Parts: sequence; C-alpha cells; structure tokens
Amino acid sequence: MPNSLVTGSAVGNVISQEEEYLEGSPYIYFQDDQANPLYNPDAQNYYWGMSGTTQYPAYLLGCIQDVSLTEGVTMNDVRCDTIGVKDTIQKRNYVEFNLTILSQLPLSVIRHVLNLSAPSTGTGYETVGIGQINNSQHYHVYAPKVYDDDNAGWLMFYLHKAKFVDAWTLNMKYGDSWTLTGIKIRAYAQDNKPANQLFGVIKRFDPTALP
Amino acid sequence: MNKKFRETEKPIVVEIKPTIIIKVVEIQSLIDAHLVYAGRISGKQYEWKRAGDIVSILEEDVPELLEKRLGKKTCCGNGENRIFQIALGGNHAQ
Repeated sequence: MPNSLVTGSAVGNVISQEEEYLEGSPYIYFQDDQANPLYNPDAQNYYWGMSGTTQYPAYLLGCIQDVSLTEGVTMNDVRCDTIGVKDTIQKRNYVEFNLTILSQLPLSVIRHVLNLSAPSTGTGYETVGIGQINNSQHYHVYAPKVYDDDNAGWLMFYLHKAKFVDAWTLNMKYGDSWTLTGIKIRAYAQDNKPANQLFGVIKRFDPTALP
Repeated sequence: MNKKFRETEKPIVVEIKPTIIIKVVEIQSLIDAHLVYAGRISGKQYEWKRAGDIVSILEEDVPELLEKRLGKKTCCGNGENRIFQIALGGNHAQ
C-alpha cells in the first residue's frame, strides 16, 4: 500500500473496480410478456430468465449491430433562489435498448420488431399486414452476454415489460446488406414487481470473481 | 319365405361392414402465426390459428410436418425453428 499522504489515495475501506473489460453485443431475446419468467422469482426474489413455450415462443434477434442500453430520466433541480441548486430530483421513466438489425427474415419474427400484423404462413409463403400498431402488446427482453467462456463468467439484462417503439427505417443500399435502423426496445415499470426491480434485473455470474 | 314370419314382418338383415381404423396424431404449432398446411400424402388441409394450437393429423402426414422448419438457415444462436411438435398440451384448434 503506497503512502496515501504522498500519492493522494483515499484512506480507509476502499473498493476498486476490476480489470475486466466487456466487448461486443449481448444476444437479445424477447417473448410475449404473458409468459412467466424462467425464475419467477429466484431464491433472492428476483424475476428474470426466459423459457420459450409452445404458446409463447422466445425469439432471438438475428444479426445485430450498434447495441446500446440507455434510460430516460426526468430530472428537476431543487432550486432555492436565495442559494442556488441544492439538489436534483430524479425519476426513472424507462430503460431502452437501441440497436440496428441486419436480419430481416423470417417475417414471423421481424413483424414483432416492426409492429406488423399477425402472420399467415403455409407451404412456400408467409404474409404479414401493415396495419395500425397494437399498443397492448408487450414483451419480456432477455440479453445475456458471456464475457469469460473458460470460467463461465456472464452477465444478463432482463426487462419485464417492453415494447418496440418509434419509427423504424429499412435501408436498402446498393452493394450492402439491408439494415433496419431506429429500433428501440423500451422497458417500462411493471408495478407487480418488487420496487427494487420495477423495470428489470441485471445479474452477473462469475465463480472466479465472486467466490 | 319362412312361414313362421307373418307377411308384414321382414327378416332383420344385419350388415357387417369392415372396420376402418383411422390413426391420427395430435400435432401442436410452435409458431405464433395462422398456419395452413396440406398433408402431402392425404391432401387434407390442416389449420392452426395460433401458437400452441393442437390439430389431429392423419398419421401419414405427420413425418413431413414434423420436419418443417421456419427459414432456410438460422443465423445466430441454436434455435431449431421447428414449426410443429407432437402435442404436449395446449388448445385444440378443431
């Protein structure tokens, strides 16, 4: 331990971050939110995990790019005109995945992303209609990311109640793969979940780092 | 005619037809789509309205339906993309 007075290090109980850098995108699965999560709840009372059933299949988004996870927050300063801003009140509105998708088929899957109608499928065809958006349709979202194959280290994000929002754009470029941009999966508070996980759960598994 | 019977009485004729056994298998849809497929052997048309629906299928049409996959190849993950399975439980569509 270096001399803290010389180096400027904090003294006392200090916890530092790990030398562990994650790379690339997680897989992104979604499923009708009528289905129960795989752990409903787990031993620590967290609701997460996905298991595709016959009635509610789990879908895996195909080739995805530029995935980011962000949130929408309302912030209002507590401003005292005699002193200035003394605090900021924050409220989480939603959590949101943004991404680009390079796989457009089958239509039976992408129709959820594009908010299209229920498909009809038979030998040699599948059909979806472009109608109005069904606002009552919500999904669970499950995004696992394995960052250490050798030691089974992985991270997952689980969002309880999400939907595909905002306008999409399907770019049909010459000499390049089609890209579906503007995809946003926005997760809202689900009030039948405990207050500490209204929007979702992040869970990490790593037996070497978490002995 | 047997004289034990009166004129108005007719002998009871019992016709025995050969028994035909139609074997069917309950097949369940795994895709949340309105599925319409014709059995290649029987030519009979089957319809599933949503994922989980169960339809009784003539036995000769079953192997082909169980072989059906959605899409030519999967790009990512390990999904089988099966369209049907032998019913484990769910809604009867017909």
